[in-house]
Amino acid sequence: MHITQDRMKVIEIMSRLSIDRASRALSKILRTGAKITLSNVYLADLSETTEKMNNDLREMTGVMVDFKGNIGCKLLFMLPVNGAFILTDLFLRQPAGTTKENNEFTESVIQELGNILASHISNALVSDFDATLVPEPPHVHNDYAGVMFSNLVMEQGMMNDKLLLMETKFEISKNELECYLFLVPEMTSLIKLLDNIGVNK
Amino acid sequence: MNNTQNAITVGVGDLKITQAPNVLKTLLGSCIGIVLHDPVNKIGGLLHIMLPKKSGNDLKITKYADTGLPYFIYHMVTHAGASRRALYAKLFGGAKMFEANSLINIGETNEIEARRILKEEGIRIVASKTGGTKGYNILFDTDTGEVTCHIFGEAIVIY
Repeated sequence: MHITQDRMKVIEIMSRLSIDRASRALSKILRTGAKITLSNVYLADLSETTEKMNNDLREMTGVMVDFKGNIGCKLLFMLPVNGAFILTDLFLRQPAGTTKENNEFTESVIQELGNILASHISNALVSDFDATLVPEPPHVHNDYAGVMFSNLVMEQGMMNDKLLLMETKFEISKNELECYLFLVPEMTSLIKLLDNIGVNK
Repeated sequence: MNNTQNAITVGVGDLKITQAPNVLKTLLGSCIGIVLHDPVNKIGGLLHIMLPKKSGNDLKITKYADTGLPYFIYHMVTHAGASRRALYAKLFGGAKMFEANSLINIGETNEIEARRILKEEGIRIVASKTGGTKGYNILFDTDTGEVTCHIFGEAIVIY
């Protein structure tokens, strides 16, 4: 699988626009500055990328969303378990430090955040690029960071040895939170979409 | 296990073969990790399979049980110098992650296919820990053949 520089540029623009929209929505819902910036869009080798991620044994809370439509895509938003407590307090307008353990509130909040991110990313792609992208219900999971990442790339890895990966930096003002948002689009359908909007080189 | 600092990491769909005193490690979700060990020559390998059977045009045969496992055995014996008669296997992983996703039974299917091929190849399985819903962190010591298995949220067990 090869993606030309021109196409990669367009994919980068599409990703940036959709992630900006998700970032604004998140700031609004958390009532604090939440800034998601696109840090890298690249074609990654399945084994090399997962080899790196397999060294990451941190305990994470993650939410995975599958998109159906004319572009298949997967989203993973994950953060260390204690970060999920901070987000829960922010989301529920509770004083910082109220949430001390994983419970149904933490799970619901992370699920809802996954929903918000997914909906705004898909809205941007639908309105600006004529894509059909419908988010499925999000699934929350606690596990090693490397295991969650491997699960994210599994489906693409079944069809291809390379995968298109969009990595982001995620900052929440006044909180030292390390969050990760990954998007893995299904490449064949993404290239079809690029053809449709006239990026055919 | 005293060499974990310098452990060699195995990625998804990948194969690594090495010898004592090296340690191999990987993380497993619905994938299956197959360990082969020759305790006489102290040679060991770890194959990280994603799917039971190869169907697409992708080039990486180590992603699949039906192509990766025979390739693994061949390389252990022909290139790494392991004795086929001394080889034994251990199996790990195959969890059902993110319950509702489409890969719901992939772990189980991977395991069935791996067991079938190992039987066909005449390689005995001396230990296994599969299933569940959480990830596996495994470390394989090629000197002793021991596999340290840490399932997320559970106690560490040595196989």
